[in-house]
Amino acid sequence: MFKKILVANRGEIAVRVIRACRELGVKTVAVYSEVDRLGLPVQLADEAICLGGASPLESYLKIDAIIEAARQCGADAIHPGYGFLAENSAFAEAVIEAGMTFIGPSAEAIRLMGNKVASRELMMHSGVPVIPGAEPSGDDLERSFEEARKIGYPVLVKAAAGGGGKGMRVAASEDELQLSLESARREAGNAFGDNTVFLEKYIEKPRHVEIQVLADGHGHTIHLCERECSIQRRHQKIVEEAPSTAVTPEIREAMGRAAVQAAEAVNYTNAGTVEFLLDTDGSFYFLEMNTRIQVEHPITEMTTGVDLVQWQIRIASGAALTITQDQVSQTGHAIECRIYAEDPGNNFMPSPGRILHAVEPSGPGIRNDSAIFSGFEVTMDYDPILSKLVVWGEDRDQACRRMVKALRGMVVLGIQTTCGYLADVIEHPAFVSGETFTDFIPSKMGQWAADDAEAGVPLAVLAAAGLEQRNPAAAGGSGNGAAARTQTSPWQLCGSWQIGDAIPVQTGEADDGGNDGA
Amino acid sequence: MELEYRAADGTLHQFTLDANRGQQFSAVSGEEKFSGNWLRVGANTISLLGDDGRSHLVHLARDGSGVLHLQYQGRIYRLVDPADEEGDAVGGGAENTGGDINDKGEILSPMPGKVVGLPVSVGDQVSPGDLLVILESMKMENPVLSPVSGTVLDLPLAEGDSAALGDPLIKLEVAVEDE
Repeated sequence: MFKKILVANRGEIAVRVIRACRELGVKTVAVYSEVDRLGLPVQLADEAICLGGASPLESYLKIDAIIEAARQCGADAIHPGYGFLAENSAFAEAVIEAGMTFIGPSAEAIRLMGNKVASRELMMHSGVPVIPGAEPSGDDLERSFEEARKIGYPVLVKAAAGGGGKGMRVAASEDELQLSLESARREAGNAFGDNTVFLEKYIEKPRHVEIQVLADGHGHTIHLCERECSIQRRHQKIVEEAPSTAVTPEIREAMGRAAVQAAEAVNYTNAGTVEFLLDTDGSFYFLEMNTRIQVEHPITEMTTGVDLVQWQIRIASGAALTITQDQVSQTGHAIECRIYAEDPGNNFMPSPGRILHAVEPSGPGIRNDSAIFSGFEVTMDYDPILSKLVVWGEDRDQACRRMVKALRGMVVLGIQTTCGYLADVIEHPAFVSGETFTDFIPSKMGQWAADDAEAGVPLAVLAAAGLEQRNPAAAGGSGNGAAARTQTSPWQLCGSWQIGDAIPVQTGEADDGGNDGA
Repeated sequence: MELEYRAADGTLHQFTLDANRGQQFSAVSGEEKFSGNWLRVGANTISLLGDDGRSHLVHLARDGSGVLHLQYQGRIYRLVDPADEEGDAVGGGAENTGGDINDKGEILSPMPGKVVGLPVSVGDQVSPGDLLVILESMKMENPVLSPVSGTVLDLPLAEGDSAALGDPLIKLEVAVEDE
């Protein structure tokens, strides 16, 4: 086992990795940017080294500085988390060249799976189903018709240089295809300066279903069942669940086998995720493989009982998997909601700022992977994720109700969060009945509006505001940042824990209740 | 005593609060009355126990600009004592000034961020919905659109500059509508 691991990331995933290291008895080193000095990873790690400025290019993406930090503190392995350098093959190589272990797959596997075209080719040759499609079709209309017949209507006309939905058309017949080809070519030419288009099978109501795999360096690859991540906003997953309501034992077995095949095709080691599109008829198609720990890994941990981050570390240190495929099973149902510092009532504008007060939800089956706390400053420099709220229930119904309670019970004051919006997603009849397709957010939540303005302000809230104003708390009164917090002595804080009439009352007339308890 | 708070949407809420007898309180707003026993159960938490036996928990904290943030039954409220409002200080914390324009014709920054796109120049005519500025915040690009028709008078920020919440991004001469 390693002696010391450097965690090349920030926020909740850095905290998650540090915790796994602790449990394995491995020392940890946090690296941080200047604005993250107060962050939880720095507080929790055994050592912490500043990389540089707030911009990721000056810190979390700076390969040389990270390698140098690892050398300086004598780390023997680096965990990249997700995002930043997690899927950068040059980084994986640099770590190995520096004589340390990269906790993840080989640089070669990262490179192969990072290339959409090459990985699709490779998957086709390895017998993993990919979305039926055809090579760029020239001006030969008859050939395009023939290709479309082979693929089966409806087909999607896609710009080769595409992006952002430009140059994309759906065609259900030959007549439509002819028109779509012309307009897609024209649009692609205007937008990208390249009018090459190709055809792909159009899946009308897809779900995003992915399979977690674990592979050791001794030739064992297993899968840990699926996660469904169809609930996406602007191509970002916001709610994930395991198991998927649409995955039967037969689909699970076939998809799991395909995922293991995909991993074996690139001699994959460590934890990885194979993403598929699942059609309503049960057929599924390879999308891509993510060669890192995923944001949504906790729901697999909750349903399979396997600690994925610890296995990442064990596998990287050379250990063999002790779990066999037969031993893997899913129990109950888990849901994860990604909570962002965004204002859902104002077109999801980012909402950076100081968290004045935060209370994590707790109770049976609730896990909150987070790196926030009262007084934490959410900066505008990074991804707006605040925490990942995860619940487990005996069944989906219990998990849903638990999630709604947890979301509504989470307290974050000072910035806007997506908690209320997410609770409305979970309570939506379409979500409740498992009708979760990738168009859920635009088609079911398009009309969503925050109802705060109409609801007015309850008298209980006004009363509390008035009571607070007349009897400010010792610690909460000014809330004026770190200075105010550090000026508060433990004795002042202590006062607010005394039940009864012991709170110092600062307005003269209201103190007849007395301070006799103090 | 008479109290008054302005909510984030601008509405004024007036009520009478009587809390002179120890932990007993009584709040009256129009026809509505709410009375019972109150207790601070944490630096940021007040427990209200109504005379009807119903328990209410309110989490609260005051920010640097004096705005009181409260969370009750999963919902967030932001209140300001109008007596504390000085000048445009409220804009800083209480209200979201998303692409708002002030009476000087200045478009105010709806969030802290970095200017990464500035497609207009001084003298340009703009219409409602035209893109004025792109602000990058938390890895995302956020377009700030013009709420009015007008002419660009001044660009106080350049690409690469940082803007705080409520900072003027662009100054417009608002077109006067002919009727």
